[in-house]
Amino acid sequence: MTTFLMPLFYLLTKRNYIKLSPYLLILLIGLNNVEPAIATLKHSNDSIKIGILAYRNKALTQTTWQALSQYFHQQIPEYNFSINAYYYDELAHAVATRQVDFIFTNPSHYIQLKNTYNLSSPLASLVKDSAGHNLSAFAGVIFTLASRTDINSLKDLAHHRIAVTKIKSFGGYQMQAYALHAANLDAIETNQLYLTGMPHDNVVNAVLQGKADIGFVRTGVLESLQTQHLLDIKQLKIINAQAIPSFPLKLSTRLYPEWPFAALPHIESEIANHVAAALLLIHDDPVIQQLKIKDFAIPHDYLPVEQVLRTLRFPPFDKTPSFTLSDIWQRYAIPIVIFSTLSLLIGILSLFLFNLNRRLHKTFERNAMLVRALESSQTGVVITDIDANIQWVNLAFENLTGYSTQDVKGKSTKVLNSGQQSTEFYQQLWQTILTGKPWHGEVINRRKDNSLYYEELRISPIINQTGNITHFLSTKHDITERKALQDKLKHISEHDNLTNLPNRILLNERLTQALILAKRENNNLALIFLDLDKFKPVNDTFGHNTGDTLLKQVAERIQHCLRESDTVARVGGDEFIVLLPKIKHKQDVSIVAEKIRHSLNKPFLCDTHTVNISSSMGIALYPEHGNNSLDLSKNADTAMYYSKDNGRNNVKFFEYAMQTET
Amino acid sequence: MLKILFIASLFLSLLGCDSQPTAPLKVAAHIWPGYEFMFLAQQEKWLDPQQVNLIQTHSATESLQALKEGKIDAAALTLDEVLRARADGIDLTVILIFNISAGADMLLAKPEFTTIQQLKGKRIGLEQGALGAIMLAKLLQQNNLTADDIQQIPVNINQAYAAWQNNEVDALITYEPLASQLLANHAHKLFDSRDIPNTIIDVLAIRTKNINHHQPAIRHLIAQHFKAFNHFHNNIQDASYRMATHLQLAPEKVLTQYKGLLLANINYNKQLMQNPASSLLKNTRSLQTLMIKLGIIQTDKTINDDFFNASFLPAN
Repeated sequence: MTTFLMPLFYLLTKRNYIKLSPYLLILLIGLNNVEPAIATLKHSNDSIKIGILAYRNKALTQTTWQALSQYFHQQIPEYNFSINAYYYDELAHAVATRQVDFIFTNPSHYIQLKNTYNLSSPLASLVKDSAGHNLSAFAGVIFTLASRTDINSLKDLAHHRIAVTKIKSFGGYQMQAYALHAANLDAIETNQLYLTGMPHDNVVNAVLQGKADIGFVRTGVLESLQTQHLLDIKQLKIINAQAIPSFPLKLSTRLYPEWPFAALPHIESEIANHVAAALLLIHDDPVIQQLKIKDFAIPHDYLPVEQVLRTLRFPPFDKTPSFTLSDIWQRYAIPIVIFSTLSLLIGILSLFLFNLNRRLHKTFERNAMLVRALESSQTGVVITDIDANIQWVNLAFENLTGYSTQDVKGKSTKVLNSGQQSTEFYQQLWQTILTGKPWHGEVINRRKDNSLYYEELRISPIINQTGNITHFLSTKHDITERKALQDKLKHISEHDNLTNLPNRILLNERLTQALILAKRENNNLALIFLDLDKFKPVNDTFGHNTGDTLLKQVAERIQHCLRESDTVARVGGDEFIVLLPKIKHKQDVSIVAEKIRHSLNKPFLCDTHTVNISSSMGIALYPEHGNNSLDLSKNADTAMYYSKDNGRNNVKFFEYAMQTET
Repeated sequence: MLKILFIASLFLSLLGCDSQPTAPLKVAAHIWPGYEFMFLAQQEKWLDPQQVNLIQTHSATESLQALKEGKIDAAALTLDEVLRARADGIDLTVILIFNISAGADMLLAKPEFTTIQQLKGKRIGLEQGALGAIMLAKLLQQNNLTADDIQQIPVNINQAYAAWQNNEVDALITYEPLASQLLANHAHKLFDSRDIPNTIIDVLAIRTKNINHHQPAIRHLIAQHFKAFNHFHNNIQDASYRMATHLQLAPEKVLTQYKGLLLANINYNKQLMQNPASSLLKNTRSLQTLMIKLGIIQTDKTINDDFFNASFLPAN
């Protein structure tokens, strides 16, 4: 100690004592007090000091327990005893500074002091008296106003304001906190607490005055206030009330051993023995009535108290023990293995899911791209189910047909049917696509506005993984314009530019067709070669324009003389050929030819000129004058020249004799 | 996606267990300090009533009767009762040892009697069962008396206090908590189970054929018994107050009930039942021999492989 005090003396001599920290001062006082305390105990006249925790009113505690000092003196006359009541921190300070020789405090405070200041094991444990019952244990009480219908069980404590004296109070806070812990409920939040300080009566008042919703006190406080007419217990409701008929007080938690009486380490064992003996015999002395206790019993086991403090990490167990990895492994090997295995499994599954998700995402993107592509395609696209009911169409389809998606969704593609194709056509189409093959062709369909149009249609069956057709994909190109152009070109190639009459190509085609038909149906047909007489002079006299005008009018006049099924073609400058595909009698041909001749004999009015012409015609008949187009043409030509040579403006049927003449 | 669901469901089925709803395991016990932890567990709601229905009977005789009639699956009994039941054809298996009597069973005599010799020709009340018969046989034998020297009065434990008060007996073979009550009324203890060590053992026995059906419930019951057992040892103050009412005692008297009992914890249970060389089996055999000699049972074929089953004891 001398060496320890040296620096202090040094500091003092250096006149630095003003700067000494309060901590050092306390230490100094404390150290100075220890030795005199031990010394004084050796003198029987000095008093032995007993520190008692005041959990209610300090003055009341002091008064109540004063009788104990007289009892001790009576039992141990060699010594004087003094009783001092302290609140928590005061008592701890008194122990730290050895201002007391024995302490009597609550169990958790005892364990805290014991761990910090090396107290003895308890000498005895209190047995309280409650209406004739021996109470060797106490518990915590959780209460609220009886009118609070919202607070009924431990779990309702969450988020409510709770009045407690101090966190250090074993019966007034720690037991209740442990009850929550044992019920697997959330710990009380610091901001829920309304700290009233000692005594416990403050807590009851705080709840009664509405400063807090819930109060924590130790057992007996409520009953004691009731006895003093300071409280009507019916105003309150006990939460988590324990049904223990043999315990006469209201309680909400487990029971824990009552307060221990312990000696500080500097006390000689002889004095401690005397004190312990006096305590254990106290039940025979009337002093117990003054102290309002029943007895002191042999010390209880305070392990359950220590367990509470350790579990909740209350002082002195508020420092986390240092754990090494191997400690954890030794203690939790099986849970760690299980947890790791589960984590691994979850990890693998997550990876699998992630991968799948990514693939799905890609597929989704691709599908979205395909849908966008189909939507923006200039080709009309229709997706139908296997019964040709429309499932999906694109914008180009809407533009093409005039039908909107809403118009056609779920309807059969028959809405487009124009009736221009035969039933057989459609049967053939279905046969193809139902065998899984694509079909393509041109069809005429009908728009919403009833107009017809040409489309190039391609239908592809959509086949799923099991090989079944689920849908049909149709693409439609509008080819109406192309068709019109094709028709125009064909017309041009087959017609005479000037008169718009069929030319030789078309005539030959029709002649061939007519011959086939005539052969099959056993019909006759006639081919009339017509040449205008004296046409050249018209050209020479009036000019080509007038000639052209004349030719146009000739064409019109000839046409007027014919039936629909007949054909007149212009095959040369002033040469025409008339095809009569169906004739019954030779005279009918004669009549037609004569009709033409007469109509051409009438004057023509061409560009202010009146023109008179005539015509020479030669007729060949099938089958009489030939059974092919070449023979028929040659013979009709022969007849026509014969007619020309024989005075013009007449009509001659071919005769074989004419051949020799030419 | 389906594949994932399949894996997940497989996974869950591995984690979960099949929960076939069955009727709760019915267990009977009368008030006896050794059995009290089951009742504490029931009172503290640790015992799941869906799994275990703990029924309080008045006596071992009543429990045995209920077992015989098939009204219950298991009962707290003494070892000799198990032996007798098996000899009577009731298949029972011991799955738990509660305690070994080391002074808890005793012969109490009226204040005027101070030695066993004085009981010659007097009325000794005892429960109609092997326990009473064994106690009586042993105490007579150790005092050189025969069965003819005394009068046996059959008394059920629930009638015993009245029989004592009405002077229908001069002495009584009994146990706690009645014993403490009578001792407080100046009864004299003349003999107790410490004189016949390792003979009176309290066990939990179940109908052997019902074991398979009730495995989870048995495990639950034994686990909760030990939970209460540990609470009693860890916080005697709290446990005493909680048990006092059921034992019909003042809280400070609870601990004294266990004075004559050696309570078997998990380790001791395992040591006794799992070790084939343990003295338990030997003691059971010699108890059987005594019971045959007393004419309580006629067959020595009752002890076989399924007599003890330690597989329901919790891991430490």
